[in-house]
Amino acid sequence: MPVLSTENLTKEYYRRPVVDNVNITVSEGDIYGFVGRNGAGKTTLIRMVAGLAKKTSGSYTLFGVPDSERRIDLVRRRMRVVVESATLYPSLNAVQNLTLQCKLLREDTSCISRLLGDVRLENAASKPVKNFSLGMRHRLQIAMAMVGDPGLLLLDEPTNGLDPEGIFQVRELLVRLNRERGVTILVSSHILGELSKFATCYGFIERGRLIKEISAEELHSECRSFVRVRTRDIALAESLLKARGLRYTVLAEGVDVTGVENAGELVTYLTGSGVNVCGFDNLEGDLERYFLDLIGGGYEKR
Amino acid sequence: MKKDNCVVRFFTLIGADFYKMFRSKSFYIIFGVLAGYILLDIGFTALANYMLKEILLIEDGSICANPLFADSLSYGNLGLFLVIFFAVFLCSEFRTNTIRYKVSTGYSRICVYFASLAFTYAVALFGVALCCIINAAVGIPVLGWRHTTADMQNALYAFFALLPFVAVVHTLAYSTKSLGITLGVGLPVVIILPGILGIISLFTQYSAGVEWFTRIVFVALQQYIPQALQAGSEVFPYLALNASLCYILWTALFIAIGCLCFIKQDIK
Repeated sequence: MPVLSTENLTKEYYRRPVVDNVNITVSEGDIYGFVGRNGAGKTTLIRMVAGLAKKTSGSYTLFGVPDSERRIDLVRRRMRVVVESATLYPSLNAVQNLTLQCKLLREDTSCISRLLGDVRLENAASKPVKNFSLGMRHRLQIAMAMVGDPGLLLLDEPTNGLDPEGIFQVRELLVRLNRERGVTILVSSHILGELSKFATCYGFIERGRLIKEISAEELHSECRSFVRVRTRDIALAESLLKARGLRYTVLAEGVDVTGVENAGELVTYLTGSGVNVCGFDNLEGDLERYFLDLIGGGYEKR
Repeated sequence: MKKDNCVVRFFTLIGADFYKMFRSKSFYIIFGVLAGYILLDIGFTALANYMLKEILLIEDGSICANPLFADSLSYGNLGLFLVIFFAVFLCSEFRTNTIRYKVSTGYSRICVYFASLAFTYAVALFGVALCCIINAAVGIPVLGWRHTTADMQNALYAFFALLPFVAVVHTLAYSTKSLGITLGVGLPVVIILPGILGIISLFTQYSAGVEWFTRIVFVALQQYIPQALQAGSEVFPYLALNASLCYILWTALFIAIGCLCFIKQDIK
């Protein structure tokens, strides 16, 4: 049974859809990477599932309970959300923040020291949160989210603004929570490379629409290699590639062509049609390229 | 996670708010200033009494603690401090986005709203109690007390008059989520409106016009009730009942508006 699934979930602001008939499925134990550009609709979808925003149409199911049922509020107690900026009580210290969260969730405060240890904040327990660094706030927020041992974490760009060490710490923490405690995690991000290091499945969203859902294994096999053709006759090369129905990305120094099995045959075709090819390389694909291909985007000419 | 019902969840939210309040500087500062203001009021009154008696040799002009007691409970004094505290405390939940912890962890919006409302009324009651205690502990020994049941009734009516004011501030905070708007609208309601209505009352006295006016305008008749009590007016019970019904109706109206806004709005 999926932990979270949406069916044609839609959110409109002033009749403009920001989440447009999105269908995602997050299975138990997954680390679901929700990938999209800024403004794609990731945060809005998370906020709808968390009950912070009202949906316009569609539905979602949380732990098997449809959102139309009254007990959806009760089921949300098994879910925690960390949305955008750190949500903490600034005048309280770390222990007091966690104590307040324990009170809200009617949990024993004995878990506080363990949670602070998990996020490596045991030495800053009595420090006011307003004096925390950004990384410390992010980690405390994850600790707050772990009060009550939830089954599902919805994290909206949890590494935003962090330095590499901070990103590493948050990533390792999430992987540990998933593997050791079986917490299902949906994490949204536009840092595609980061997600690829630990997500088990992905959902790609663009302009409010879900483009594709794919497992990590499928993604790696579909992350195609491509041929980089260096040429100054870019316009001519573009028209020839279009005629062949090939996907390509225009660069300043040439074009990257995907879906080509034989690089030599491609180059022969181009040179035979009058394109002056200065050189070509067979290169491995990556997540960014895959996503750009999915949304049909290309680089601007530099 | 412990199983619970709506009542448990309701009181859990209130308990969490009290936990936060007792660790917030604004609570101690604002109510400390209120206590200091009442003490200053008593002190200046005692000084005035001394000057009347010893310097101007006026024996019958002393002011006892009774009017100070009623005045400290008025919306212009206690109400003002409550407006400021509630605006700061309630709006901070939206400013820091910590309201998310309540809404996204299984508490229904209605439960969150009414628990917060109950918390604000509990704090308002604390404010009334604080005023009563300071007046009883300091005002009465220093200034004396003219024994009359009307003044104890004043305390009750003062709290009653605060009901709609608290509801206004709470509604503003939960519907606008803005400290500026909550204070910008809440403070004039407390400071300016009663003054305007006081001027109007000079021309209407206890006429049918006053009663009609109170039905359509959100106002505390507190200033009229003590006057009626002191004058021994036969119309007092009617006025008191009228005012009480107005308070309840306007309170219910603002609570309904605030609840509806909070349920329908998205939370960032």
